[in-house]
Amino acid sequence: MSLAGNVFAGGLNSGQVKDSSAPLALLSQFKPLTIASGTFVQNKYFTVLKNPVTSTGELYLDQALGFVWHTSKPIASTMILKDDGLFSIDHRQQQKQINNATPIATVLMSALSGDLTALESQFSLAATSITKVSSTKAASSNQTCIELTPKDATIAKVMRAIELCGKDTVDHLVLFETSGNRTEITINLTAVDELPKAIREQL
Amino acid sequence: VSNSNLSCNSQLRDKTSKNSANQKIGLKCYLLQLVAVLLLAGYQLGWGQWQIETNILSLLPTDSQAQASQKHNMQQAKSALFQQANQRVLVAISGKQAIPAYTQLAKTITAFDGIENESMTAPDVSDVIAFYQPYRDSVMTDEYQALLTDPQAINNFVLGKLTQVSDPFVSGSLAISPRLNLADFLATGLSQLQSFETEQGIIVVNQNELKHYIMPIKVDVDGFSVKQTQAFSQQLQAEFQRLETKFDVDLLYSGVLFHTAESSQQAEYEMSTFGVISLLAVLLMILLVFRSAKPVNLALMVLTISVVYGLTAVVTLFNQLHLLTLVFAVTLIGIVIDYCFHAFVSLSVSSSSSSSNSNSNTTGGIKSIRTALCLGFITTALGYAALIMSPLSLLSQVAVFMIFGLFGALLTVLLLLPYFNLSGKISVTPSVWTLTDKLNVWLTELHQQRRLVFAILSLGLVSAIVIDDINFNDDIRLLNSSPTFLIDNEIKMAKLMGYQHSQRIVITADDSETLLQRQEVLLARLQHSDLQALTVKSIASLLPSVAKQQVNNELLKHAEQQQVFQQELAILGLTDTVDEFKPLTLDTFNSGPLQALSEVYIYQYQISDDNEKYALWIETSGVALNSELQQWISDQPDMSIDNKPAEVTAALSHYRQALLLLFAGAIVVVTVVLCLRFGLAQGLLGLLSIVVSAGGALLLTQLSLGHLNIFNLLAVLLILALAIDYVIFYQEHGLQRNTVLAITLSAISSALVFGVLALSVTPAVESFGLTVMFGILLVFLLAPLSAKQVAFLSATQVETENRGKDVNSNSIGAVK
Repeated sequence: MSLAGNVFAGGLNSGQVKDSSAPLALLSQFKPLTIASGTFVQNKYFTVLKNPVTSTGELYLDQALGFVWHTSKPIASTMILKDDGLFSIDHRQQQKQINNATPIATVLMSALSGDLTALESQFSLAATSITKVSSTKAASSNQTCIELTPKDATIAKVMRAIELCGKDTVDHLVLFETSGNRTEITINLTAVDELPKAIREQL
Repeated sequence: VSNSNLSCNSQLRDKTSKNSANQKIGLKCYLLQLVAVLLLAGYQLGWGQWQIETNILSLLPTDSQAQASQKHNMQQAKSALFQQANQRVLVAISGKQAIPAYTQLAKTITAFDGIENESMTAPDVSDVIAFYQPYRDSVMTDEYQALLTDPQAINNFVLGKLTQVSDPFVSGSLAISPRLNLADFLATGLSQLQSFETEQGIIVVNQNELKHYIMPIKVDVDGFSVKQTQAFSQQLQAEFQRLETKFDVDLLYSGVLFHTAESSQQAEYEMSTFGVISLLAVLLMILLVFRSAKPVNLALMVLTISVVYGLTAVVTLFNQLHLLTLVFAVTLIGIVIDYCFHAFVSLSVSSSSSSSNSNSNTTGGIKSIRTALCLGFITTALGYAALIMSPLSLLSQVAVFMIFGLFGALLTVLLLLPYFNLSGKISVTPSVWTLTDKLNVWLTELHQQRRLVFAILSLGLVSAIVIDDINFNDDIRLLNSSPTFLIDNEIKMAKLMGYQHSQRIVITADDSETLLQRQEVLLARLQHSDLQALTVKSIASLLPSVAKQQVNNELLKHAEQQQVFQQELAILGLTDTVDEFKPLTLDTFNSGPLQALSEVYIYQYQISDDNEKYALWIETSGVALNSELQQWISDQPDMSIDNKPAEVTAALSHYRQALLLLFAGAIVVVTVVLCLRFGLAQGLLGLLSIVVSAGGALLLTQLSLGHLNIFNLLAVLLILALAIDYVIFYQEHGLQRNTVLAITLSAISSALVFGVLALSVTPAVESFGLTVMFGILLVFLLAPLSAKQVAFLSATQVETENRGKDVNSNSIGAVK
């Protein structure tokens, strides 16, 4: 995180959200997606593990219905965000409602669909210089990166920051945990007219 | 002859001086005890340890020694565990500006003394993980345990956890517990106990797409002081209202505090208005009948003294005074005023019918009713005395108040009134006498038809009881005078917080390990029930018993020996061996970061100086426990479902039955007393009028309210007391005008006093008032019918005649 970002985030926390036109403007560069589907690659870097834990899967988004995050490899699991809450389904098809979760699902959904107000209510926004860890893709062309710092003290205890990068839409996301672990997600998302029936039924 | 006349005169003088000497001794004794009572009252007022109680539930079953000590322990455990509940207020704010309103409320509250925001801050995940590190290999969820036999299942489980986008427990504990049993245990346990979502650290409940932000508030009300409770309630309600207008939000609040404040205000209001109304009505009546201020002042004096006696006795014997006791105690006015009426009427009759020494006449007037008054007091007091032993402290308080209050009134009427020179100062207005005579004629006619009247009424009563299904209602809501909006708030809040169908089960034990093991037995039983939707919240999800921890540790070691974790650890590139067993005890747990949670669920309390007990509770929700489970729980000696309303209802029903037995006993005693004093036939007649009045009153109440409850039976107790008084007076004096007048006045005043209670908002008080009013009407009509024969001479006339005879025979003796 850059120093400038930090200073800015501090200012935001003391209630100057409305003045933060710069990152908001940046964020609004991301084209909002109403209905979209795509794939993702997730790399989790644990400080105690030599290699990242890689997983891949599909994601589905419908602003009106919700959000499905389906991991297919190495083990199947699904995370569903809909009106009545956040649910997880594990590889044995056991469904659980998740309370008190870090709002990563909400962030993903809001960021991808371009819901600025939702993001702003929970995070302080700041434009960042491109971080080293995620530089490979972002540095290539005129990428925009925004750093989100959680306003909620409880969440801030676990999640230090979220970095969203992309050109037209968010295609790279890094989640920095306070523990030093981090999660990098690369997303390939395209707008569609309608989600597959099987997915709509889940929402 | 002149000598004998002289001696006769001197004898008369002797008698008079003896009388006045007796009177002086009586007065001295009276004044002595009055001073003693006043001193005691003053002491209680200035230095007494008593307090005013308004919590209606506190009146209810205080366990008698007869009940098993086990049950007593359970009650103690419950009151210990749930005492905080009485201090909790929940506020739910919804609307566009909900968060600013919440922040404002949180800020305002910090300025209020004794009120604090109780939002529990979520424990720091890294602290929790660090705390569990020494016990990492002794904790696991049941789901994890089920995987231990299958290396592939463990592998899948770990991969599933590791690929989740974000799981702070996995992140934080992978380094110290790579089998992820700890991460799974903590994530499951904490999410089970903190089942609410939070937003910016605020509990948020989403209901019909409307977000409600919840703030739990703790109000430090000590022992339910009335003024304090009302002040807190007003302060909070005013603040809520301000927030609603300022931020345009909807605000829902609930808590025992508001009910206590409302019902105490209601009780205070009723007590003062009812008291004032009935007092004014009674005093007005005295003024109308006697056309003089003197009786009014005297009645006020007698009333004041009796109230001082009653209150002093209650605060001395109970150390607390319940507001509802005072509401019921308004009835004291009704009976005390009877004593005054009897005294005034007798004084009025004696002063009008005699012309000799005024002082002795006054005494004669009161003397004529002494036996009847004493007999009446004794029977009334006996009736109330039976209530003193009642396990309902409300009843015992009312009983003590009435007995001592009446005693004070009796002493004042018998010992103090004669001292005032009242002859010729109290006289009944002639028009009242005319009315009384008309009534007397009517009653005499009725008396002649009494066989018919009794036969018809008894037959009617019996057939009505047979035809109409008498049903008793023991619902706790009888005691509730809370306004509808508060009750609505409670219901809405329960819906919002998902408290519907929620039940709390309390477990007790002598030590913490047994306590936790019992909890696990119960949880296993609940898990094996067929209730799919049953959700259980318990501290067991974060603190297993030491026995279970040891089993967990052995299972993990065994799995390691079976190389269940080998593949998983190899993929991760980690090596780790299962730790030796180290127990996590309650004491250790309480020194850790989750102590606040343990304080909510587990309580350690003292039952005697060196005897400590432990209690905990678990909460089930989602679906009501089925009867099989309920039965199983109630069969366990150290478990109990906490259901205050059901317990109160059961207690009310129990005491109702006890009261019915008491009536049976009372009727036997009354029968014996009446038959011994007035002969078999007269005694039975008196009894009949009493029983028919009481039964008729109950029947009329049943017809007008649709059900009966324990408070109607309490009313019957009062009807019995009044009816016995009336019957004794009629039996002693016959149907003479002064008895008829005194009893008529007394009946009217009682009907006024109790009739006013029928207007109460509290169903209990309303029931009581209504039944007593019906009863008084019936007794008023039926008691005269039990009189021996229509008497033609007034009691004082008889008395004067007797005295005349005495004097005559004395003179004759002297002449001889």
